[in-house]
Amino acid sequence: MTASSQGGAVVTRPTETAPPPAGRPPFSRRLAAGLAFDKIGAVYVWIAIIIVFSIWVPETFPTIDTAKQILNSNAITGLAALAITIPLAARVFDLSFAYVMTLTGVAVAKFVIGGMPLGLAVLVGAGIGIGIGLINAFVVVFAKIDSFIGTLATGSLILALITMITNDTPISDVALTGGFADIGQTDINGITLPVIYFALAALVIWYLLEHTATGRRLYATGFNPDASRLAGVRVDKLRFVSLVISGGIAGATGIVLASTLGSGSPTAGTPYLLPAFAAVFLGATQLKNGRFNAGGTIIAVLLLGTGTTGLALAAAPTWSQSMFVGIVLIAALAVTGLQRRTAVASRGSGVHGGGVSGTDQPGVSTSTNLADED
Amino acid sequence: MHTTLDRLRLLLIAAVAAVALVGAGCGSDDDGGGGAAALADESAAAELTQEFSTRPTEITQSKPIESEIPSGKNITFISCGVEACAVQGPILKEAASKLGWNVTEVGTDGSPEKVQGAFDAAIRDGADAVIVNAADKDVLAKQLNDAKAAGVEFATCCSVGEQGSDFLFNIATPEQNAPIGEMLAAKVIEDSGGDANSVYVNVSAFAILAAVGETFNQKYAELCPDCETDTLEIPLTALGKDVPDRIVSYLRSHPDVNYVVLSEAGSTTPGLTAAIRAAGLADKVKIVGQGGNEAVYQEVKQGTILAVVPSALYSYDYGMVDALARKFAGAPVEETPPEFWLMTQENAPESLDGPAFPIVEDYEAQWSELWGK
Amino acid sequence: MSESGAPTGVVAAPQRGPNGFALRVSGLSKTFGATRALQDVSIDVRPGEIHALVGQNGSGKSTLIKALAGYHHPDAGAAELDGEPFDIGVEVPDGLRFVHQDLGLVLELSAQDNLALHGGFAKGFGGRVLWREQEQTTHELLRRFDVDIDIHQPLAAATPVERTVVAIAAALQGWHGGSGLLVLDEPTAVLPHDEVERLFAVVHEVRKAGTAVLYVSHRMDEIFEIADRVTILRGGRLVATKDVAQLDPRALAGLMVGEDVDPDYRAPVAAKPDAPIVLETRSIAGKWLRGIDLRVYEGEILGIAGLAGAGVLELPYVITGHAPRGDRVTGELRLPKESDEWRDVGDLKDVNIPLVPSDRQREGVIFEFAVSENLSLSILGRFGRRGKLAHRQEERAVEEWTRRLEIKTETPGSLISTLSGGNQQKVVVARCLATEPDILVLCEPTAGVDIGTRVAIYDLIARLSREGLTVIVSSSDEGDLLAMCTRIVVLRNGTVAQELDGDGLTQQALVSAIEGGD
Repeated sequence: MTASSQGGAVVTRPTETAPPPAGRPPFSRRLAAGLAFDKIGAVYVWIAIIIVFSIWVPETFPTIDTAKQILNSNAITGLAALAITIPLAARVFDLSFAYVMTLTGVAVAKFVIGGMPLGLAVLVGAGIGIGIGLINAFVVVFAKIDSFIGTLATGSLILALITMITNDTPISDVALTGGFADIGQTDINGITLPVIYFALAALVIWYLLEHTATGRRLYATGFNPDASRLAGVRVDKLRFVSLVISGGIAGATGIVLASTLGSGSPTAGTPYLLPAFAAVFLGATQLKNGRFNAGGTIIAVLLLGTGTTGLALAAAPTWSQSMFVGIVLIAALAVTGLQRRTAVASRGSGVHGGGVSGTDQPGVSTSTNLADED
Repeated sequence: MHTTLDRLRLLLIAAVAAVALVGAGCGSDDDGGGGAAALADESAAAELTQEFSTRPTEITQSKPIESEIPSGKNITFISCGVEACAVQGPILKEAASKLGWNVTEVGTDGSPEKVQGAFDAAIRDGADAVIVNAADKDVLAKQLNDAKAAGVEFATCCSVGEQGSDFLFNIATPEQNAPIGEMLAAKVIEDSGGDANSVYVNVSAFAILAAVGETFNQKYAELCPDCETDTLEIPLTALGKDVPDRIVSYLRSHPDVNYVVLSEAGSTTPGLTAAIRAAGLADKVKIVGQGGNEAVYQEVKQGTILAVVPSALYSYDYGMVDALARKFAGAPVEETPPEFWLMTQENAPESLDGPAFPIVEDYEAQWSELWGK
Repeated sequence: MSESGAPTGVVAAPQRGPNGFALRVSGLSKTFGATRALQDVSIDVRPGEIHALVGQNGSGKSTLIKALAGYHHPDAGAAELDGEPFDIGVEVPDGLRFVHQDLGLVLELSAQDNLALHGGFAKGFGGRVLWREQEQTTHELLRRFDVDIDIHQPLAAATPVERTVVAIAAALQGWHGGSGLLVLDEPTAVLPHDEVERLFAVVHEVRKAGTAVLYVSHRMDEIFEIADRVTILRGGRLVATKDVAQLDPRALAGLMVGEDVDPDYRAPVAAKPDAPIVLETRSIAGKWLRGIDLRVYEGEILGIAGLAGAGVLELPYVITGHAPRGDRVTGELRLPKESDEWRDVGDLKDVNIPLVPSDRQREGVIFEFAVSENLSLSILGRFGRRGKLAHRQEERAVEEWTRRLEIKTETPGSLISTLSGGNQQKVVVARCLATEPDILVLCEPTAGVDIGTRVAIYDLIARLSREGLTVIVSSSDEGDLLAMCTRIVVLRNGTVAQELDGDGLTQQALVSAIEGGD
């Protein structure tokens, strides 16, 4: 481009001009990319399942009531999954959330029975969730214990607390049938309140992860904490806050759960541990190519919920539900992973070997790059 | 779709209907009221329900212990960790203290290794007797043998096994529990006016309730031959997770069902009434069941659950202590069934403090009398 | 002199050794979709030869290596190893060994385990590992290459050159000389300059044993030191294969780039007289550093040079506040333009001195992020208010920086892994510059960057310096330092040993200062 002289020797720079960076590709191409298998493969699986069940049980499945039933019976799982999505974005595992759910449920039940006004009891309960989140955060960030093990350990402590409070018996009383039950059991036209909470939480978390600087920094922290630190991201603070948030959401969810059960059950939260993680991981493969995200989590929760409800409506044998979950997880992950691997390989093939990086997978085709929507 | 099979079925039904109509016309002089109602034995159902709804006033054990009951005995209660076991600890302690006995409660998570380990430890530590509820005699075979050899007594409730050969004492055996099924059947038929269509929700993992299902079906068919009933199996792994969803799905795919019969109410009710209400089925379906806990009893008082046969935990625990007392006193130990009561909104007690309440109100006095304490 | 485009074929030279070639590839072609990565490329390596393979990014060099290694299935081409034909891209004959850029080692495992990973364990009855025998074999292998390390310590504790040699030993296991080909792909990319000699000694050993070596590298001085012949690729085609003795660096660079390029480029920046001090340090000590007192003047480009272990890499991290948390670092620093107060180097959280790290993969680039996301990470707070991320503003900022630094990417939303190493480096630099700092610190700025982009980076730094930025460059590449810096500080044993500037800034002076000669 330019020639400059220094002490007589003419120096030229290589002529490879940088083309001006392309603007966004046209909408139609973005749409096609957005609908590609590697973005929403699980949605296609979901549609397939809906079709199958509509044919299998035509009288009961393809109705609004079924849709409401699916939403109602998966709202809590959805909330639990959303709770752990945020720390997972920063690659922090919170394995204590299920026990936090149980703890706040039994605690608030006890408070309400003891006469505390409902509003105060709920606040204190949520505060307990946040408190546990703080403990987790200290263990993981300050004591520098691996989050997987650390939160497993705190979970065990919480379990002990639960047994202390409840002596392993559900806490039940007529006092829990009033306003307390309304939190989780009120329904609007067949849709219970937890579904609304789920939708709201999803919206907030989507916004946080997609449209705030903090969300971007969370992802950066998760993907490469060293590089993030050098770029000025407060990695430790983010990981700390993420655990406090998950504790808080799990705590709130636990109160809702106890309300739907109408009692403070010492085993309320445990069944949600695996389904929530399954949903979040499955959700990470959707929409955002490996990033934990709210939309993907919703799709995953509803996909799995549709199948289990459909099977129940079809009076399928009792073992079929667990089998379904396993098969769907593998299928959805395989479909998405397969497609994505080829796409990524074609985008970053040996042509642009990239000095120190570059993918190792054989290139299939060099497709024109479709901008990843944020 | 009209396959040959369908056509055959239609033919068969038509034939039977024809015969029935002819038979009805020729035979009985009953009023020809609509279908099933005519064939149901409503009066019998009502009578039975009345009988079962009367709260028992006497404990099922009536023989006093003549000989001296030694005091200072140590009993180890190995708790299975779930609520049903946890609740029994204090009751056992209360019963034992009357005799001047000591009860040590050992908590476990219910897994075979932990229970076996606790049992071994109890024998080693010199317990006079061991109580394990819902004991699996095969899992504990070695421990039971060791106990026998060491002279340690064993009493249990809610287990599958023979009293005498397998255990010293077993209360709430499958056979003893059988009347529960009859009570539930009677209530359903009576309440429905002979127009019942029920689903029996069974958790087959709870083996001791198998007989309940059988007697339910028998009595049900006896009282109302035309009333339909079906069974919905719930796997153990679904408990606490998606039981309400499964039941609601069943109800939606079987819209004629108007009664849900829970073989084990305590584990299957959490979230159930809320889910049924949200699905808009609350006015259509009523719930009865066996067992239960504080939450279930509350719902009975509220009327959201029609009727429940509560677990007679007080009679289990006092019965076990009583059997041990007889054994230590040298008196014969006999089978003693628990008390049964069909509890509804009308006859539910005013105060239901705590997860368990005694079926017989003055049980303490009665037991004390038998024991001479 | 300079050739453009048309392949000129092999220059005849007296053949050594037995007849035939160690490796012969002819007519290799590979197209990826719309891109022709290789077009009719032929290369041959004589037995016992050290043959260099050079070319910029996009030249097809990596595709060729990957085809040999069996990763890519070429569209056309034939190959022979020691005269035996083999199906290139499908099978990898036993005599063809590779040491790839990432070395293929597991750093948490010991040298013994790593070698066993490649070559298997000595096994006895029932699959039991015979540890003593295994140890002996390991020692023998490493002795061949004159490496003396504790074979039971995790390789993470070994020095980079030791690791490279272990990787070479691993690759050559089970092979006893006499023929075959060892492919070394950028083996010195992670080696500080003083350790490169060690590596060359090993390469000579390999050649002496009869194996030919295909040596892929960016660094021209190495090629001239070690290679017999060199093959140049450009744009997917073979440009030429020449005897190294017949070339000089400038000619070689010209062949690679396609036009005249001065490898002894000096960025046109004059040291500014009487500039104020912008950064000052006092008694900085740490793992390697033993008391550094430094003064950095405004507008200068200060180089930090020295051997490995002198603290050359530790210093940049310390003064930017990013010293590893485990290391105990002491010392003081002040920024006179902001305040006269001395602050402890452990407490530099709010200081804006961005650092371009030496290990781009691990610390520079976030691979899962797009180019734009990488770039904007340091200034996210500027887009939108109250935490909201205004995407349009972000796009505009990214666009601007992409233009300013001439970053070559298909779209700003492409994954950063699609960029060449040089352009990735530009993204990292852009991210640092976006915070509008007064001082910028770079570590090994041209590691893994091809010569074309390297010059672009020199020019960029020079331009920024003219615009008022103060730059500190730490590098083990003398070429970098001489090309960029107005003043160089040479560290030895953790302290400042010598300072070079003005006319004293010559290659000889620099090299001797680093080595410690007088």
